[in-house]
Amino acid sequence: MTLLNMNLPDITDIKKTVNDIFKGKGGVVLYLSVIGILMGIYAFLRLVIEGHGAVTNTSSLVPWGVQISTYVYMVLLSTGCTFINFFGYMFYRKQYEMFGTRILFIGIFIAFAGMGALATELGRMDKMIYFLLSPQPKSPMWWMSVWYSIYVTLKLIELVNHKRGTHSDKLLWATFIVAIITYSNLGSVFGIIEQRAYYFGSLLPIYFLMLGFLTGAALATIIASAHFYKSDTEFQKHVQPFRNSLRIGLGIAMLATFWRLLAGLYAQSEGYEIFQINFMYSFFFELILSLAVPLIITYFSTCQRCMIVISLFVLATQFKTRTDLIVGGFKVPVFKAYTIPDIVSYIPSHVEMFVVIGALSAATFIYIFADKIGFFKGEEHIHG
Amino acid sequence: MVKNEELIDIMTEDLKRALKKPADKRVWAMAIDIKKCIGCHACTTACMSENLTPPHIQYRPVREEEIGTFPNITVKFLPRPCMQCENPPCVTVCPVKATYKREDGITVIDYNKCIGCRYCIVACPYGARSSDSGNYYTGKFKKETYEVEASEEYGKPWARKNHFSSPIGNARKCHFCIHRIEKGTLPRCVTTCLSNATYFGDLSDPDSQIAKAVAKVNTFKYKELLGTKPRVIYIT
Repeated sequence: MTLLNMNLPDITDIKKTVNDIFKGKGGVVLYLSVIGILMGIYAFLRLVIEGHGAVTNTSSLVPWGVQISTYVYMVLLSTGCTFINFFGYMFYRKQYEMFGTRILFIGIFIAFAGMGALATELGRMDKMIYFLLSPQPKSPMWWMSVWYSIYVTLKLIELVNHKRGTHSDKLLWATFIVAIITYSNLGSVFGIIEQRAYYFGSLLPIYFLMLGFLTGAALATIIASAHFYKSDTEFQKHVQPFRNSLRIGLGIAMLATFWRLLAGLYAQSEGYEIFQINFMYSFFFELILSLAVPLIITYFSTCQRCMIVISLFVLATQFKTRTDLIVGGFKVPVFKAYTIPDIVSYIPSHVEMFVVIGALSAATFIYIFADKIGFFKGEEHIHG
Repeated sequence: MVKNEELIDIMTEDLKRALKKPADKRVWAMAIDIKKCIGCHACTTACMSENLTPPHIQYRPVREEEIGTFPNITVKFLPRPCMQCENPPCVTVCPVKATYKREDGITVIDYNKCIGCRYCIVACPYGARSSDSGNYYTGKFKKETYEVEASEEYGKPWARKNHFSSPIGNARKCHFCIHRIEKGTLPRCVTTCLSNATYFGDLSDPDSQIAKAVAKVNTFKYKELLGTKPRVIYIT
């Protein structure tokens, strides 16, 4: 079907896919994502009906919890997709081109799902209009809303271009540059907070971009490996850019994590004790298990299944480290009254976890559904 | 030497004199004599009843600190209201200008604008801001009258009836009881303090009790090195 010069799936294909899904032919991942979406809807309804305080475990001591970290994780994943798309076209055009639309598509919907997770964490979602009516240009959070809108718009235009069978290097560059600005800006939301030692510093915006690249590379590797799951020859022909990106991502993330940890350990000012409190965890989990081990494995295991497992492992551990980064900023309270503990702990409620599951599932469902209805078929035909 | 019982009356006169000045000429400030503070938490409790704050929200908690080792040990108390910084980090980070400094230097929150992003809570180095998540002392089903009664914060009635009504969902903080000072009454924590450890008034008035109190003795400002320029001065 052609609409506004875009090559889109036929209505009959969509109907057939929907029928197949209802007949139980959707595949395990799709049905799991449907369950995840239902859990997300349940959590959203609880938040709206009962209120934030009644169903979440965030507080004045831990004002930002797992919903915020999910947002950060997902939008960094989206940035990573933009980076992979850019580097793919720049350096590996022949091998990468056939995945361009897929990576773009998932990058957009992951960003939307992340925004949804963020919205559920706001105390008064109904007052978002004040971002327009009463802007504060001194606030990095306000700039985030501006750059985020530009970023998503550019990505959507890029997707439309892909569906029209055209490709613009200028737009590719523009989206790449805007992605850097947008998500280093997100890093600055945390990095400018001098009072929170775990966040503060000029490294954080750069660190965010590095972690974004890593997660984007892991997701793109899963997509490529799953696509050629049954054809090893084709897989080995196309996998190189993804495997290289994953290795580079793991390497730069290790470097940034190491120096962030070391700088924190040397610091003596109030609040920096968090780096010593977290040292064992940061060293063995964040640095060794999450980054060094997968990097080594990529040199020994190169089959499709191995790449999927490694990439899923990277995505899962990065989600955990992202949550620890956000929540870690509040572990040492800035004021210690007698009712306030020396170390603040936070365990998300089941409703908060359901929001996370819902957001991740929504992005997964949309991608799988788009794949099943043949949204990416034209692209593969054109370039493949 | 001013007697304790006269202090409140004198500070009230100081306050009324200051209110006659244009708002931008007043420098509202608070001084807390930590030698006098006995850690009774009367200020904390009075503030909670004045501003009808929900569970876990205290605009003025008191820190207790043990100094020394047994048997040479002493306890010090540090009440912590909002520091009403001259250079407040919470104001610049608010994406919608819901929190701002008034002409008289008091930092306030516009509950009608606040989106509840909690960025100001993250940015405040004193932990002086809280998030009103909509909790009640008596649980979510049976709410006592005092829990849904309207507080007079910022001179307007704010009833916490449900989680769609501000200040639920908003950031909250001490505002030096501006609804009281604008009527010529001292902040509730000042009038409640059993040992008259808290001074309040216009720092730019050299005849005011607060100006005299902070001029003659050792003083410090909490986390002064951050450059926030607090308007709460501790007397040691």
